[in-house]
Amino acid sequence: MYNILVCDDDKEIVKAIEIYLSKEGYNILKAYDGMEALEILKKNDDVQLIILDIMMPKLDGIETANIIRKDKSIPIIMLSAKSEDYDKISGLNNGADDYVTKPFNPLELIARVNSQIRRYTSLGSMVKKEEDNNIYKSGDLIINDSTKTVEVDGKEVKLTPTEYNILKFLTKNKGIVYSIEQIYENVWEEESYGAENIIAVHIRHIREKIEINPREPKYLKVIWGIGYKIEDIK
Amino acid sequence: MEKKKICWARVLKNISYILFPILVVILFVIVFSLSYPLEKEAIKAKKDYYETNTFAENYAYKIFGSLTTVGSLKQNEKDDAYSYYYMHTETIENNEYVKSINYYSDYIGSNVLWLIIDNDTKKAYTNLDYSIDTSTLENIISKIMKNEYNWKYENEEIQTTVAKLSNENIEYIDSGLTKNSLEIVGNSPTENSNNAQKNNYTIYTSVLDELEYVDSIYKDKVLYNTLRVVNQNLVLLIPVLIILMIGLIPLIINGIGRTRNKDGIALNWYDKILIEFASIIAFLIGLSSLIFFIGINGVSTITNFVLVLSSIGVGLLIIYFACILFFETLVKRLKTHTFVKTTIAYRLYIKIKELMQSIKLTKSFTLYFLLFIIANLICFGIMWSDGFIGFLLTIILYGITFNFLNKRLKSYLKIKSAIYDIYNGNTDVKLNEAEICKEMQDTAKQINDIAGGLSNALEEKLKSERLKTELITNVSHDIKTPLTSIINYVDLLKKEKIEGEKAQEYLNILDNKSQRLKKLTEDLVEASKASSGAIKLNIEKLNVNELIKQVSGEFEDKFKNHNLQEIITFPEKDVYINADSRYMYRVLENMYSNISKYAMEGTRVYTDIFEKNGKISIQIKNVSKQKLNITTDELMQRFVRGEASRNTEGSGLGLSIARSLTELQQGSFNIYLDGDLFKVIIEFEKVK
Repeated sequence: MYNILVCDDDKEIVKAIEIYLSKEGYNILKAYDGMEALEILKKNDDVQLIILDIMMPKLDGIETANIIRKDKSIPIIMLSAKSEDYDKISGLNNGADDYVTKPFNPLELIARVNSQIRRYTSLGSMVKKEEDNNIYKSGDLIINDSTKTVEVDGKEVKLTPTEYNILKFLTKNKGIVYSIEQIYENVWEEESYGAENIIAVHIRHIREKIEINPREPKYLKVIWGIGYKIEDIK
Repeated sequence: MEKKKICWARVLKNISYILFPILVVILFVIVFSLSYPLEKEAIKAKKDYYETNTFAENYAYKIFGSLTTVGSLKQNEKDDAYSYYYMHTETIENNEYVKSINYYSDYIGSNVLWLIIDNDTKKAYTNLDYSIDTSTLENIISKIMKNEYNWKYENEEIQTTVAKLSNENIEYIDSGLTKNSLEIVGNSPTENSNNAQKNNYTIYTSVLDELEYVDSIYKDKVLYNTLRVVNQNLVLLIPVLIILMIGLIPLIINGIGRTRNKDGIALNWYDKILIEFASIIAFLIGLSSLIFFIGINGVSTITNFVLVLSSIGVGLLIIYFACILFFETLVKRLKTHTFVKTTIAYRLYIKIKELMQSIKLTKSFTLYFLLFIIANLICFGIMWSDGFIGFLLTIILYGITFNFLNKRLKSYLKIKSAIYDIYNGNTDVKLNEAEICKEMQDTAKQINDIAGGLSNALEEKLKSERLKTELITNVSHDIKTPLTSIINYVDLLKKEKIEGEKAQEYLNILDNKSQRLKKLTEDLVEASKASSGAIKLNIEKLNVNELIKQVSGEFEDKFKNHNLQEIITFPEKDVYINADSRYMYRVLENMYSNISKYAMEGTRVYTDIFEKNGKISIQIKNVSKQKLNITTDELMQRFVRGEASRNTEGSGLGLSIARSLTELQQGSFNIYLDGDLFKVIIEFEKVK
């Protein structure tokens, strides 16, 4: 039973999150401002995830995250109505591991919570497998070419052979942008005659499978008018 | 009310014009009378004219005159010389003669009637008109003596009704008439004897009761009576008259220039000509009155007093008219503040000023040009005497001149290009005044100021747009928080599996609407950011073919769901544009999602990419599900959608956002409607 601290000055939102996450089997601790959250953390050492609103009375989410980060590495998901790029960057730079904008999709929030919990609790054991030559990874996206399996945040994802090949090629060359033509030529190993959006369709399907929010992908990024790449995450 | 006032002002003015000269004449008469040195004591004593010395003296003078006349007549008779005088001779009873001398003593006539009977020669002389019955002496005598003031001399005795001419007083009259003179006047001493023969006359004289304007008796009477009236009654009038005259002046001034038809001051041509000309015209009019005064001089002996008076009157009236004319125009000019402006001096001043200004503008150039010509002539002169040096100097002179002209031309071109920049919307123009030649520095400064003002105005506008965006962003934050709860709890309610179809239907509606509200707030922020330009662009070189393939791939499933088939025409080679990758996708995403929402199911969607006139054009065509009874302009406006109802998803901001974002990236975005055919053309400059 993992403990999740939910901190938001809107009590109804905290309650809704509690309902969703309780169903997923998490134990919820509730706080309504930054000071309360810090007090709960002081008393309770056994917290695996913090969901933190930014705009709160007394102590706001950014400052709270800063204070927590001084001595704890618990994952933090920022939850805010501020949806500007600037706000997201500032949140992620101040100790947040993920950023979810209000109004959020409950399923997306649950997926992100699960992902963070998996990462925080179980990923340590995976590190050992890194030496294997047949393993390609970026962050928590792991492709095992020996078993032809793909794991994201410790959870296996089912892909078609074409999708697998495309993802494997991109992950192998992570951080590099490839155009549709290049991907086609490298994966099919034959000349592309253009006029094909099949690769784009495959890539969307892969994104839908490996990303929590395909519109805001974490791993498989689209650079419109240029190509696709797998983000190089340590 | 106003009209009535103007009317009154005019009437008062005209009355004043009439009154004024009358007052002047009265005043003049009074003052003249007071200072006239005539019979001051008699006037003081309020004596009648006929009691005064003046009268007595005039009368005595007339009597004396009649004696002289008779004397000369007698002499003429004696000499048998030709008589100058017209005589009327009649034989009357007792063989006595009467010689009547018509109007003798005064050619014009006389107010004194007289009859002199020479008792020695038994002849009688009179100035009575022959029209009077002169057949008997008695007739004549009675005619004479019936007048009130008469004077008779008989047997060395005087009988008279005039006290001052009586026996006792006659000696004191200063007219030559004495008792002695009565006996000797008219008798010239004869050659034979030293002692002249004494007259033996009987004299009848009288003054006409009704005086005529023929001699000084009448004139003096009028004068005396006038003086008497003035002295006794009218002295007090002087201050009254002066006050009245002063009082009339403002009335006149107030009335001048007023018209019934117009407000303000009415000016006629005379008021518009130069004041100097106006004064000359007025002076000439006044001068014309001289004719009348000269006339008076020429006919000074005319007996008609009325004629003389009216002549003077007309002359004075003309002068008065000239004075009024000039005075009126003066006042009108002062009232309309055109007095100074209509003087020759002012006109000259203005002309000179204009001349100076025009000289000032072109002064330096004119001066330089003259200098150039002079220098050139000198060079030619030198060339005459020493060809080489002259040639050299000419070359140098031309060099300097070219440099001079070139500098100014450069300045002009700089200014011209700055103006062109501003005209094209570049307000960052800044002319370096030091680089501009002296003559154009003012202009350069003004252009800088204009550019600065324009760019300030633009900045202000951008600032206000940004403030608007900020406001919208903040409001949307405040909406999002409660919206989160709505969406979440609707979702939780749905999971509660509430019984009843209706409950499920209602929950679905709540779900849809809350999702739409979410989309709407997001789009609102984006639309406001896009239209205010508060977006940081990250421009890179994009492959249009790749882009369309990617987007098309993204929407493949959605199109399939709506049974839409996309047909893409790519150019033979890859084409590139400069744009922001993310926002370019937003533009196309909006287009594609619109198609998936609004295109008629089972139709084809055409996407054409082609190059035209150095531009890359992306054309997307589809057939609309709904009838599009709306104009393109309306469609581009925020919150407008092709259909009238707003039940479907979407905020109505899609097209507006797409257009704003395209234009932010220096592209163009146009919509064409042809029946149910909906066509979007996005154009960007081609990049190699």
